[in-house]
Amino acid sequence: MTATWKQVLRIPHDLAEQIDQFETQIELRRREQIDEKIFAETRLRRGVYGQRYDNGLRHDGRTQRPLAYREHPTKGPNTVWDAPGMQRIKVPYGGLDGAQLERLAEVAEEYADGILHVTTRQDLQLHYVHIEDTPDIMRRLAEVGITTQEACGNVVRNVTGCHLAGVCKTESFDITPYARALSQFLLGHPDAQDFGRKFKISFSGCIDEACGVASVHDLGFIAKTREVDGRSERGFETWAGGGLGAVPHRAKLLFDFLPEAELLPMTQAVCRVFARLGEKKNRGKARLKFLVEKIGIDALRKLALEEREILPPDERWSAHLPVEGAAPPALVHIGGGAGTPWRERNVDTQRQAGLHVVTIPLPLGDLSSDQARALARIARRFARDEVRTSIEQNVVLRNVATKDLDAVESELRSAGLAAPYAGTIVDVTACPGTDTCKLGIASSRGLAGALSAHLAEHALVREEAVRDLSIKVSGCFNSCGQHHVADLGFYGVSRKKNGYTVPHFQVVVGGQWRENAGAFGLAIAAVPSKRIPEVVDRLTARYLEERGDGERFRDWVQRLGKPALRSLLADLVEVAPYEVEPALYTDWGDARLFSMKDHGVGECAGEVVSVAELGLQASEREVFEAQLELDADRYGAARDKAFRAMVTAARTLVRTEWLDVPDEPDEVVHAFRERFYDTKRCFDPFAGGKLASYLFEAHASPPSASADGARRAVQEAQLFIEAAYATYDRIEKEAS
Amino acid sequence: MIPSNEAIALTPRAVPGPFESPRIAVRFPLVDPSVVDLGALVAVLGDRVANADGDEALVDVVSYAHVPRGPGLLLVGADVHYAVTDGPAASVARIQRRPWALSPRQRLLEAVDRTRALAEHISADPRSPAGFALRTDELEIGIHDRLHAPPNPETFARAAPFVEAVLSERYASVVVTPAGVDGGPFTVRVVIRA
Repeated sequence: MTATWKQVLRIPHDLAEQIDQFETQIELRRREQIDEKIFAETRLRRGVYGQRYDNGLRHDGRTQRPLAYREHPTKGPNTVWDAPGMQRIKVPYGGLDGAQLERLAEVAEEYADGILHVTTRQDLQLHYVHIEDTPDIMRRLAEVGITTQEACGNVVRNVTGCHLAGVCKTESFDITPYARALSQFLLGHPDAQDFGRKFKISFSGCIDEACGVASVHDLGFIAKTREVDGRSERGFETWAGGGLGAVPHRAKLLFDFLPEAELLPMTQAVCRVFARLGEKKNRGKARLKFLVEKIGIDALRKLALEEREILPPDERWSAHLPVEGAAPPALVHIGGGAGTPWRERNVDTQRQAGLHVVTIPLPLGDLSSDQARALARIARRFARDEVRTSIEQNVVLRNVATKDLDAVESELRSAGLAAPYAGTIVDVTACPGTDTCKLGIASSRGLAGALSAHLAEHALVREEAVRDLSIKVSGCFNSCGQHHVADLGFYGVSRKKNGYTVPHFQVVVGGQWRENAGAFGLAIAAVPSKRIPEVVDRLTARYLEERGDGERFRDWVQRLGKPALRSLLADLVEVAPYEVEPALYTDWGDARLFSMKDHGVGECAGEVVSVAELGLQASEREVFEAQLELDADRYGAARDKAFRAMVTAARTLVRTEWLDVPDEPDEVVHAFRERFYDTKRCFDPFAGGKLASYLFEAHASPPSASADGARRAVQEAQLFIEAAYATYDRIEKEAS
Repeated sequence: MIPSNEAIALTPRAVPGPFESPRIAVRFPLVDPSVVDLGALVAVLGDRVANADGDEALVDVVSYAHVPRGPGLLLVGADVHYAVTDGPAASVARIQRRPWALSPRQRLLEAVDRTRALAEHISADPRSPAGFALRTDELEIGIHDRLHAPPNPETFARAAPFVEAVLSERYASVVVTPAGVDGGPFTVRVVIRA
């Protein structure tokens, strides 16, 4: 018999069980036994995401054609089962070791297209993955300590952190242990499961640099110390309600100094407030930034403090404390190394004498499997077996000794990883755009690649004032490429011109990347995609000509103003007829006549599925597993799983009004009786309390572990779950 | 504590026939690597998606030309990827990704034939660079499946006779030797003579 990864891998029981459950859910959906909307949110919470063309259609430039997928059920609204999708992989604060890199290289090679894509939130993504392969991907990653849990969906996403944490000269202290603790604490936390939208958290070591971009997160933590009675105390300046997207919001100050011991409980309290008061029906208004806008930062602070007061104590709040670390260093900006272009651009000195940070620019954030293996070897040999991904879609090696720099450069060069342009204008950031994203309007990766190639050879780049500018490209207004906070930002739009749809990019200038994404840029004009390199040339050339002594690009933009900048690009906005300039009517890297017909419905946070719906769906999965046990003549297991399914359904109902309901069956049964049986709220119009009472009977005197006993247990569990669904429907109707 | 990768050695596991795995990769080097222009091939492969009439459910063309020694230009399908790479080791490859309702022997022969067929299609397109042709004396066969085909001598011992026997149906001479990169998937080099 052929072995399976499930059989041969040894992973922690709880992780294995979660992945097994997901595999069961896949099977249930394949049999169309669970709702597609609930399945979509379920898979999103495992990081399994849709991809362009997964509706089974593709426009070839002239007409939309069906793709030859086999007939199957959907795996979400308008999402064909057979269509390859994306697997997002969480990488908290970007930290990976060699073994993890090697495993990632393997799964990219076997299940995807051989590429690990680093995102602008330090995640990794695999593209063109089949849903049937995802449980094995998760198992193989779990074996090396990597999870995909809650990489997508309406949950707390990857907790990002400054990639220089622990080695940076400007940080107050190393945020790594705090980011790690918060990430682990919130993973699957019950108080972070019932949001109307995603929730993003970041950590920054200092105020001045950009590494954490705290001001554009739902919660942004900036490391800070204060003196109390002659003693240095650690804490975090805490910002809330920031976000990019179509309408960017700068976060507002929630706490000037949140003591380190309060980091986890206060975040939990904010999550509770957001789950309770955040918008659930209108996705477009469901991020924390809209709640802050609605009630004000002072009200959010008051509610969070009140919630904090009543939180049941949790020993995990302080398990990571105290964190030992070096005394806060003096604030000194990182300087480049001297010598070769690679040393000058890609190597920085650390705060630890004799050690260096080496930045490896990844073109478009892409790393091949072979390169990932090479990187793992280099990290083991020269960088204490650690790398970090950055939100600029690069990778850094840290703690590289001076004596090893030549060898590191040589080995990186052999792997094609030594391009000498880290942090320069050539190092362009881009979201996936139309390459793989269903929401992409224009080819952000195509443009980014073209700009990078164009600028690498450009004389202007030799000017320091231009060389250090940032370019960020998004495929649409949703801003995954973070265009709002770049010196030169672009986001994809389309325009109807001369009877055709023409790919354009909106030009956004003067955003600020430093100071934790300190300011947003100005949108000045939509220009055809193919003319964007000319836009960059003109703006940078004009800036060099006109800038005052030491004047930054952003300041020059503000001085010139929107009308003057727009007039500078006026002729580029015009679109010649197709017959005159056909290149304008296609996008970068795509030979097809441009079309918006492939534009789809996004899955970036899934539909809003309440935590109760997910709980009831989990009870259905458990009763299905009980049925499988029954079919396999394992009667005791079938009976026990059927009872567990009832408890899950009962607990789900109880939790709609009591957040902290415990897990123990005795307490769940008691609470259910008190709240839903004695009150007749879980009564059927015809059967009365009969269906609800199955729980009490199974709890008080479980059926025998015989075939008949187990069959009865499974049947009663199914009826109980139906009653729970009906009760939940009534609760929802009453609420609305 | 999750055990490390090294602690869970893949090699001691029982290996069923390596070619039970459908994830077969076939790669032919090009006669003249210097002729490859991946940008020019985007339209050629794009038309292949638009006019797909086979059973491979082709989806899109994706360029990784910016990744040094990466996958190159991909013709992505639901069941299979094709890849054209440039540089000194320019090649055309076909990577099966999902179960294929054929016997292992048929799968291997089909994979070889379909790789050649794509190369011929590219070569015949007027937009393709002149001289785009596969070598006829050598190919690589890999199995992108470390469960069924861990990259080790045991797998080679099982796989090589199978490859020799099957490809001998096509070629007068077949010599199989180990290949592949350190840590990469199981791969053999096959020297052939018509």
